[in-house]
Amino acid sequence: MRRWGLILALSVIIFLSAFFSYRNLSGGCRATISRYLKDSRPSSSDQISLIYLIKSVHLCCRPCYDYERYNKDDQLDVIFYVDADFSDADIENFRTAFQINPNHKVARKDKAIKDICRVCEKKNENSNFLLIINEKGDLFDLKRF
Amino acid sequence: MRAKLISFFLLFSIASYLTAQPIRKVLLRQDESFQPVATGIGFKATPWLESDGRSLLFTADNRAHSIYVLTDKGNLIYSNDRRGQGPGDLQSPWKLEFSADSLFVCDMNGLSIFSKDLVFKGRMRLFKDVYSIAASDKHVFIVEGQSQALITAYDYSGKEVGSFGDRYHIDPYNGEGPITFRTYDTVYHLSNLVYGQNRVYFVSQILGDIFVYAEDGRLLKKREFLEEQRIINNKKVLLSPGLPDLKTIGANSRIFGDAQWADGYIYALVFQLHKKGSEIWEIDGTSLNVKAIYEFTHNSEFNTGSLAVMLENGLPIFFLSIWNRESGDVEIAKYAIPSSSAQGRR
Repeated sequence: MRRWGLILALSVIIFLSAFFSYRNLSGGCRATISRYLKDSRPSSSDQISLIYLIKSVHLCCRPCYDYERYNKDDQLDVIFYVDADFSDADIENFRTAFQINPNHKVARKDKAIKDICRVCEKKNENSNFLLIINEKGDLFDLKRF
Repeated sequence: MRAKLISFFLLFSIASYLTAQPIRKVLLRQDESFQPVATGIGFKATPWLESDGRSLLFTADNRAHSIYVLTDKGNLIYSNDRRGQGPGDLQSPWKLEFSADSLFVCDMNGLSIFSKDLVFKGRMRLFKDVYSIAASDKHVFIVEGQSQALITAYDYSGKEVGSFGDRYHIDPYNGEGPITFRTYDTVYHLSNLVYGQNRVYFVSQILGDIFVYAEDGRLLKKREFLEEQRIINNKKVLLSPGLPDLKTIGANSRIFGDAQWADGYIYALVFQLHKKGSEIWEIDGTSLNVKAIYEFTHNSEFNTGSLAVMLENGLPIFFLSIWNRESGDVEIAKYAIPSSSAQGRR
C-alpha cells in the first residue's frame, strides 16, 4: 500500500514538472501575454494597439521597432513600458530622442509587465519587445528587437 | 599723422615680438609604469583614464566591464566589476569624467554617477551616440550623435537644460553606399570636451579645432592649429564641398586623442606621432596658444589610449594608458617634467 502511495506521489510530481516546463518552454511567453491582455484590456477598446516593452534602445543601433510607421498616428493606441528605474528626465529624453507622439503613452513597467519581460526574455536580458494587439484584444504578433 | 601711425605699429610689433614667448619643448621623464602585476589589475583593454587632479586616478576597462580607482603610485584602492544593468552595474564602460566629487561613467547603460569611492549615486539614460563628455559642478555636457546642436547640457538628474554650438556641415547624404551617415557624423564630431574656468572647450579629434563656449552657450573663441600638417590634410578632405572620401584621411587621422584640463591649461594628447612616442600640448585656456610641447617616448612600440593629468607642486604629472605592441601588455605609464625643465616654467 505504501509503495503505491509513493508511486502515485512521484507520478504527480513528474506530471506537474513536465506541465510547468512545457508551459515555460513552449507557450510561456505568449501565454503570459495573453493572460495579461485578458486581465488588463478595457472591454471598450476595439482597435489595434501596440505595446513596446523597452529594455535598452538606441536611436542609431537599436531603434524602437517600426515606430517610424506609427508615430504620426494620433489615433493609434501605443504605450511604451520602460524600466521602473527610468527617471522622469529619462522618460522625457526618451520621448525627445525617439520623437514619441504626444498622444502615445510612456509608463514604467509594473509587476505584470515585469513578469511578461522575465518570461519572454529567457536568457537575453537585453531584449525589447513589440506586442501587436488586434481589435479583439488578442496578441496578433510579437516582435523581439 | 601717418608717420605717427607707422611708428605706433612699429613699436607695437617690436613689443609683441619681444614679449611673445616661444613654445617650450620638453622631453618628459618616465617615472613609473603601472604594470598589471603591480596594480593587481589585469586590464583586458587599454583603459580610459581620468583623475581628480590631485591624487586619484580613475580607470575604465571596457572589456572587463570594470572601473578602478588607483593612487598616483598605482595602488588599487576601489574597484567595481559588477557587470549588468542594475543600479551601479557596468556594461562596457568607456569614458570617464570627474567633477564636483563625482565620477561620471559612460557605458551601455547610460551615464552613471559614482562617488570617488565608487558608491553609486544615480544614472541617466542616453539614447544617442556619445562622442565626448565634460562636467561642471552642476551640468554634464555631451557631444551626441544625431543632434541638431553640437553640445547638449543636462543637469545631474539627466534633465536637458539646453543645447548650443554649430555642428560641422556635412553635405546632403543620399543614403547610398557602404558608409552610413552615422560614420560621417562620427568622423566630423569625434571630440574631447573639456570644462574649465566656467567654459566648455570642444576639442575636435580629427579637424583639430578648439571652440570655446560660455556655460550659457555663447561662442567665445575659435582656434585652428594649421601648423600641424595632419590637420591641414584632414581639413582639406573633410571641409571641401561634397561628401568626402573617408579613405583619404587614413587610419591615423585622429590628432587630439584625448584632452584634459588642469590649472588653467588644456593638455591635449597628440595621437601617435611615431611608434615609440608622441606629444602632449599645453594650451593656454584663455589665449588658446600652445605654451609648451611635452614629448614622451617609450622603450617599446605602443598605442596610446587615454591621458590623465594631476598637479604636484604646481607641475603637471601625466598618466598615459598604453598598449605595448611588443609585449601585448596594457600598462599605465607615468611621466613627469624633469626638474631641469621645471624651473621658470611659467
